[in-house]
Amino acid sequence: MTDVFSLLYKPLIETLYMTFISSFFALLLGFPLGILLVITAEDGISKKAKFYSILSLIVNILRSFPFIILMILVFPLSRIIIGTTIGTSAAIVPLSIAATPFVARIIESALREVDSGLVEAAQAMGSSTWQIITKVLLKEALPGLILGITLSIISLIGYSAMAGAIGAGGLGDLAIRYGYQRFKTDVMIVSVIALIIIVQLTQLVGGKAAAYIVKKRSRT
Amino acid sequence: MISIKNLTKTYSINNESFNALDNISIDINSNEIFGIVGLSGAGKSTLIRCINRLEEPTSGEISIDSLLITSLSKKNLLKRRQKIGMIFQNFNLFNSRTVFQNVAYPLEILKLSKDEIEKKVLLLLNTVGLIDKKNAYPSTLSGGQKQRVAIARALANDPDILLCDEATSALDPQTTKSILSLIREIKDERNLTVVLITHQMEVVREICDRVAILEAGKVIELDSVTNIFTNPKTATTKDFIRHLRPETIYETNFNKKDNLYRLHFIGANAGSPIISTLLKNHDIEVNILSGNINTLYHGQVGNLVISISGKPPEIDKALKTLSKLNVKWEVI
Repeated sequence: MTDVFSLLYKPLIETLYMTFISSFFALLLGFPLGILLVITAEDGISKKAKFYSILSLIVNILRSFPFIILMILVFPLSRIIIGTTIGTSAAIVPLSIAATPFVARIIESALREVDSGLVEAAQAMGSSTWQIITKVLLKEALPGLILGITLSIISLIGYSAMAGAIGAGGLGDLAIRYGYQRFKTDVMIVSVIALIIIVQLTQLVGGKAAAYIVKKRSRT
Repeated sequence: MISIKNLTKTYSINNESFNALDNISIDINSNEIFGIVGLSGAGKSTLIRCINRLEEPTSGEISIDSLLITSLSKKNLLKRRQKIGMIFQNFNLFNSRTVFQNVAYPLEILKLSKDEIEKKVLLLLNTVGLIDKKNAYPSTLSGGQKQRVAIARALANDPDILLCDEATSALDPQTTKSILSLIREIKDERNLTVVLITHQMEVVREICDRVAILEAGKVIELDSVTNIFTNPKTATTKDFIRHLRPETIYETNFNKKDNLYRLHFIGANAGSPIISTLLKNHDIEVNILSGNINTLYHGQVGNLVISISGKPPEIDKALKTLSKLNVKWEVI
């Protein structure tokens, strides 16, 4: 059994590394896109019909790609940015790009939950578009945003396991190479359990943080 | 003064356009409380939103103290909006902010210093009587408390205009009264011009100086509240105030041959003993069929439906006496 755990160490770090870095970039790209989708929409504070429909179309197209195909398509980009198409770091580029449109839609739907009356009140008080985004939309939607970000990170954990299939390393790779190809069921079970624990912990932290904010907002 | 000239707002849905506002012209005086009344769909909500351009008019002009609002650039519009307070039916308080932070918002966007903001916010919370709730979040407040916070927030940047969008429609009658008297108070203290839209004639009765009745995007009647209550001209207006001046006359109450009259009393008249004056001076009999008194902000108005029986010359004399006493009357 100690063998199994020593096997687990490196892939675990790789998975955490891939998930963390690609979540960072996916959020960095997806967050502003989500905001743009909300404010340029028909009922948005900075309505731009053409821009919205083009952006929305691009997001939908990217989301329709099966992840594994997208990874292969993005290989050339990985080579330009990271210098290689194989390995954990190389997987970060397709992971980030694959998750970006997902994050954009998640952020969009969280921001849409904000009562349009609050936006109207902010407009009536003479707020600029930027002030409405930063002081009203993002603040009001915070619990929903946290849950959305949690969901995005969890999907990236799943994606990163798939990336293992194209040489990215990580827990997914471990499960496939030892568990599936070499019939070492114990390794497969342990690596899946490790993934479950990571997902559970992420959900727990995200859920608690959102619940804390909701509770704080009912303080008398 | 808010001057609205030939304002039209057209919406098009499925290639069919309709006028939410149809060539509206209204002058709202400085320092008055102006009511806009109408059923839902009459266009009152669109009208009040055109004043601060939350809705863009299709055509027409709106100016405030000779500043043409309808042609302001976006930047200048934001600046002017900062001096126009607005409160809403659903209060629209920020749930992510405490009471204090809600009132501080309009000052924050002006980038005032923390000390200045605190001084002002505490003063305002004192005015609306919610200083002890300053660290509470809106979700824990009652409707009346929420509207008080919203009023404090609307006043934070010392506006000269206050727009009230069905501000009391979500409140119970007692809370409505207290909110309305608060609005009256702050209007007098701060020389505000108040524009309020409502579907409740009680609100108009309670605080308005003048009122416009809106129907299908048009102003069908515009007058002082006293005149609207004593002498409504259109059927819609009569409908609006009907439940405030009951005049159902049951057939058993009178003889069809009787002469029926409706008397209108305004101000001091409403309290004087007019019927007994009639009876003492003329050889007639009076039967009171229905009557009521409405207390407006500008005094009382009364309505009385009576039947008078007696010899025709005596009745004529009695009616002349009524006119002499400044009582308006009409034959029903």
